[in-house]
Amino acid sequence: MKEVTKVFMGAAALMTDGSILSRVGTANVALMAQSNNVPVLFCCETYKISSRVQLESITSNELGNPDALISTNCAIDRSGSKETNGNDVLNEWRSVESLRLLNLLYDLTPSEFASGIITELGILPPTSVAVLLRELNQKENDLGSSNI
Amino acid sequence: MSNSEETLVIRDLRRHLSGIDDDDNAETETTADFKYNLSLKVALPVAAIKSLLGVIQRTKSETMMGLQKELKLASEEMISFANDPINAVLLGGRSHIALASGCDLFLKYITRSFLEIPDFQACITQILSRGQRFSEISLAARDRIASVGQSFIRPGMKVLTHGWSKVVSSLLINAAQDTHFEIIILEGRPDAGGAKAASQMYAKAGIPTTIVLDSAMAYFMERVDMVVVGAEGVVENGGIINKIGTYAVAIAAKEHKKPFYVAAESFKFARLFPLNQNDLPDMGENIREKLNFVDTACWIATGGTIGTSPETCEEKDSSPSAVPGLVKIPQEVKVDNPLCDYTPAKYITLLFTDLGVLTPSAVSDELIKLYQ
Repeated sequence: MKEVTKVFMGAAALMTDGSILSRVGTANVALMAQSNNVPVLFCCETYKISSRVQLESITSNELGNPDALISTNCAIDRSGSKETNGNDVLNEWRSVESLRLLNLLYDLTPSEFASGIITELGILPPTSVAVLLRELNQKENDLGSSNI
Repeated sequence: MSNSEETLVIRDLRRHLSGIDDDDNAETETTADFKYNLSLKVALPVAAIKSLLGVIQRTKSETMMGLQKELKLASEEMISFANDPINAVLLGGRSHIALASGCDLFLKYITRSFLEIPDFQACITQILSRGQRFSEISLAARDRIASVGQSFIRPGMKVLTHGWSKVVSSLLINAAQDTHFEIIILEGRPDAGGAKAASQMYAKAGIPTTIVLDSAMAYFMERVDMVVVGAEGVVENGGIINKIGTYAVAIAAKEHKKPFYVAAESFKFARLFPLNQNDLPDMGENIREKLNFVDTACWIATGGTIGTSPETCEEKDSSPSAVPGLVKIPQEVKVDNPLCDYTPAKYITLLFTDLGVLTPSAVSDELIKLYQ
């Protein structure tokens, strides 16, 4: 991180308080960048802005396939499944009663870790997401659209 | 665009900057004004907008698209004029960010007016009549800022400020009429902006003022009760661009838990998003190396004459070209002298603007509304 000058990441959704819902691991990167004073920019279209607020990562997350965690090998073979060499310790995790594998897909990055959100309307500070939601909704109402 | 048209815009800009033809610029200055003082009376964006109004008056366009094109060209002309280091004196060392943002806002205003009044000629008439009152509007902005900021200054306070800012001075002088407080001001190298402000504005208004070295700012920070500065530009995330040294003051203020206030008019809001000092717009190639150091050890703030007595200088050089009080810098030593720095939003407590008292995150709110 000492050699990095800027961090760019994408987002799955933006919460109204400026927190960013994104692929698991994003919060880690943002935290490390912030502690090294490296600016973190999120690229996100405005249709991803949600009117919800989420306080922490675990609620309303999604679960992926737990078997994906068995192998620490990143390589994926042609059929789309991970290459396993049969020697992985976790291969027989189902047989161990007290063991569960949890594959979370999303995590929440607090707004303090983002330096800016890049949208198609320009670069905004994370605190302004709510403003954008208000302005976009107003425009929809003015145009007479009632689909929301 | 023909050559004569370009020169007209720049000629207008020069005229407005010197404030010669402005009779509604009635500030209470004494008659002993230097020419640069006159040029510093008028805010740079106001002069730019007036020049753009001149373009509208002279336009032969029949459509809004044509007019917008002319205005865009004129703005670019003025920005490159401001970038040229030759014109630095006329601009009084101010950066062109406020100029660019003022032009931007004005162009947006034109577009919006046209949406309200589809008839081109009627729209132009409306814009011109509103434009005549624009300098009044900008002075009114300053008064509004003075009135919202006044209640933050309580009796017995020590207020720290930095740089020459008409907005800040009108705020402090206004507050001084009702409240008794003191000012600590940084001398403001290299152009002695702070020293000039203290001697020409605050001393005349009768406010007890102390001038300190820029480097002594952190030493005095524990004694002050609040900090207030102006701004060349206010950026999207609520940070400000201001005279070099403001960033340092902000960091020290945050560390000492002193409130840091910024006084700025809304036409200074710019659509910039700097992430660090490197992202500031280019001020022009030669300005950074050009040094106009004022050796304050020999500078008498009220008179402005450099002391010539040899006792006041450290280095005794007997060659005839040596100026007492100045240190000779050899060729191999590089000098870097940025004019402005960027203060991030997290160091700013509140902004006093003509739109009211805003938090830094509210600046983005206002910008989105202005530019929608």
